[in-house]
Amino acid sequence: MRTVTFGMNISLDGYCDHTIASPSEELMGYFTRMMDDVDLLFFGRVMYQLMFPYWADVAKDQSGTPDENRFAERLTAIDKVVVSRSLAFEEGNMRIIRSNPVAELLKLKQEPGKKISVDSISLLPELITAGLIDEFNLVIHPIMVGKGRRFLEAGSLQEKLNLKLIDTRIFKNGCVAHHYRKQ
Amino acid sequence: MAVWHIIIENNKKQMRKIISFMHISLDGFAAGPNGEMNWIKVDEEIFDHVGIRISEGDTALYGRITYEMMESYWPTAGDEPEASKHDIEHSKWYKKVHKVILSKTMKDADLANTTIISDNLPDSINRLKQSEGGDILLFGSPAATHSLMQLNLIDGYWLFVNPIILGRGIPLFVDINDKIKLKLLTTRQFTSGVTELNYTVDSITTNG
Repeated sequence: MRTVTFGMNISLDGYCDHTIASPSEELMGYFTRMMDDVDLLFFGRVMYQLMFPYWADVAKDQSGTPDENRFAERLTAIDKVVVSRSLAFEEGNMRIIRSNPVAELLKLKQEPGKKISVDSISLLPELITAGLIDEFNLVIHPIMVGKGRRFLEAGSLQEKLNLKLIDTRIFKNGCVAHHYRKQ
Repeated sequence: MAVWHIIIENNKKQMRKIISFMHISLDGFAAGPNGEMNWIKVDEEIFDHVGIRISEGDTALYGRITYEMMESYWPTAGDEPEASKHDIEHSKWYKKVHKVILSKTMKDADLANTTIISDNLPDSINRLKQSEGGDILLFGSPAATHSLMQLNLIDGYWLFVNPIILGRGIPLFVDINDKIKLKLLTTRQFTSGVTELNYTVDSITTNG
């Protein structure tokens, strides 16, 4: 079975709004390297539209910093599945799933391949509940923001989830990456 | 080098810092929905580590509920026949430390070495910060922490992140109205899978 991983930048108070993160070459490199083990991105629609076409354009125009360009190229090259009722067109290496993300992800997990990265906040609770998330990569930023969207809203899980810490990594800008595996 | 800078900076500051010392889940809860704390991993390795910083303090800050829990256990914990090294040391420290309790209901009884703050939190806490001494740890006490957080009276966070997602419970961070930038001082990974995140508050900007 393929490993399913969830990676996210969060503030210390648990928000994952993209404005929490100040740009850091080191952090970009970390996420780019993480993509080395991934050959499928499993998106919710909101997250997909936050990231595309933005990163595809960066990759095409090479409009970012060298680190951002590398991240953009890597991200753009990986196959994508987007869970959405409203998106009209599949494009390039992206295909759309209309319903039943749990069953679809389970099917993908059983196919041969490298890791699957889940990039969705709204799908996360049901995917955790279904036992489908094997790894968490949470980068805790040294900031509290008090508002926005939490990576997990209180009450969205019925059961607690015990994890095993694999490693941590400290960045110069005060971020700490936490890598956990489900127990 | 970086570490020395931090030490020098801290020494320059006149005021004592209030540091929130808390065990939290990965999703930011300080306790379960009914106050459960049985998921918190503490072992000799963590006791030894936190014991060093705790023993340096001469003042401890508690909310009323946490204080009552402490008071029912620590004064006698060191005398029990099966007391551990940690029990004996912390019991000794607890009895001699100046205890400051935030409570609207407790009356200033004849408690040795104990001060109760029941009103005018900003003034009382600022007076405490201006008194002579080092950093003051606020032990657990989510409700008291929330009150102090809202008044921007917390100067640092010393957190022990447990490898668990609780999904529900009493959050550590509520009603934060500002953007609070932190400075990571130290971090450490424990065998049990707990990580220490030790921050001071760097700057506060009002959310627009």
